[in-house]
Amino acid sequence: MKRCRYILVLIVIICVTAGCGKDKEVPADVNPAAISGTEEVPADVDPAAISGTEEVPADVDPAAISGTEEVPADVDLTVLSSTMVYAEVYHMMVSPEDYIGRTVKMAGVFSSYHDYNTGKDYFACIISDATACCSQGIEFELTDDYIYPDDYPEEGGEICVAGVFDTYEDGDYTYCILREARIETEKGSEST
Amino acid sequence: MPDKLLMYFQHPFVRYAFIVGVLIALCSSLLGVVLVLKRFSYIGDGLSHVAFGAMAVAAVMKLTNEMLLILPVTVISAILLLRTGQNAKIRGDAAIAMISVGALAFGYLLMNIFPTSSNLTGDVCSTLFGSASILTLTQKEVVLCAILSVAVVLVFILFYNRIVAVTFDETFAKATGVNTQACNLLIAAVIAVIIVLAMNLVGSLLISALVIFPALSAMRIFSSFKSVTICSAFLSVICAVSGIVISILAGTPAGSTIVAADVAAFGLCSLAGLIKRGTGR
Repeated sequence: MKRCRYILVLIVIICVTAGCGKDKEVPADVNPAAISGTEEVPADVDPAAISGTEEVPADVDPAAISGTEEVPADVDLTVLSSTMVYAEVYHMMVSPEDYIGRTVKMAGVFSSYHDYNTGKDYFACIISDATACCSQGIEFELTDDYIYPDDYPEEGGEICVAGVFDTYEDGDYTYCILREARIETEKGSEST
Repeated sequence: MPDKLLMYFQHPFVRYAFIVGVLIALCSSLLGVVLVLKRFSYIGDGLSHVAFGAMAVAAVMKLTNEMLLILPVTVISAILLLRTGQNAKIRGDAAIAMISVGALAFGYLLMNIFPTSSNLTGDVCSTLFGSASILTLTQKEVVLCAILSVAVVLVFILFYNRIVAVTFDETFAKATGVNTQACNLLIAAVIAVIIVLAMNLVGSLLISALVIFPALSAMRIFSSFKSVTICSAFLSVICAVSGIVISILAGTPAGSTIVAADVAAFGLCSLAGLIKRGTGR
């Protein structure tokens, strides 16, 4: 009995210490098969059902980022399940410093807001958690190739957007944003 | 699927979820056996509602660390409900119901009058059902959970004999010199700690399932306290892990998935118990 108790305590201590240590690096949500264009897509949650595409390449404007022709997404939320997407976006909001400068690709619902005081338009990609009662999203800023409202999707439409994660201050608050973003329409083709 | 799971495990918050999930499942199952035998199965629900009310007050007061209020309030409530031991059984149901619904209503009322976010319904829903709470833990929260879980397990191990005595026959335990009042206070405090931790895993409304299902499942198969406790702990951990895995792979709410796994385990254990009794073993 004493030995069982010690073993149990040891197991608990191992579990406790296993989580110690700060992970400075945010792991890539890059699915190599999807990026390299292979046919195998080992996802139980089909990202195509969300973005409407067969493949999920990160389509970030290379001139704006690194000058290479195609830059894969560092954080590809389209290959994650809805629960994981919600958790990942939550952590982006809580610890944005871990994501700044990384290319983020996400799929969700297009939402826009017009501030009548400043005359500025804000655009965001909204995702819901598994119970669909909680929503959160990330604001994005499209490249100059897009003209509002002609090149923008319809309000409430499903979109897939990729951009470089950044933050900015407005008053007392810090906001997260995807800069130099490009958007995919429901049909899967990139718009402009 | 294994590749996807390995990819998910690269995320720190997924590893945190599994660590905390295992620890909470382990702690809740250990005390679940005690609660079921003392006929206080529903106290988890009552205390979780009290914790919800305390959380609402803490949010309105804009406390940096809400645990500073939630934990003491929940512990005090647990002590008030359990402090008289056997006598509490007479008032047990009514007291739990009164405190439970009162705290829940008060908490929701406060959050409506003094909203702390623009998505009140979402915040309340997430707290009540634990859809993704387990995946939104920070490292500090994980450390706190781990410390409290270790403390709970250590208390259970060190005071095992006294807990067993008080659970089965409090009067006899008292007659043999066991300080039953202190023991009941200790059990109450530990239960409160577990309830507060378990809110992160399954949400306020589903905590009772996490506490009672593993114990009841184990009781379908085994009859001795030690066997039931060990089996309950094993089942609880397996169900928590499988629930989290299914949740992150299939995109289902984590809390509900874990409880569904517990229910499935109860069904399987009931079947196993029937077979065991049928063969006359």
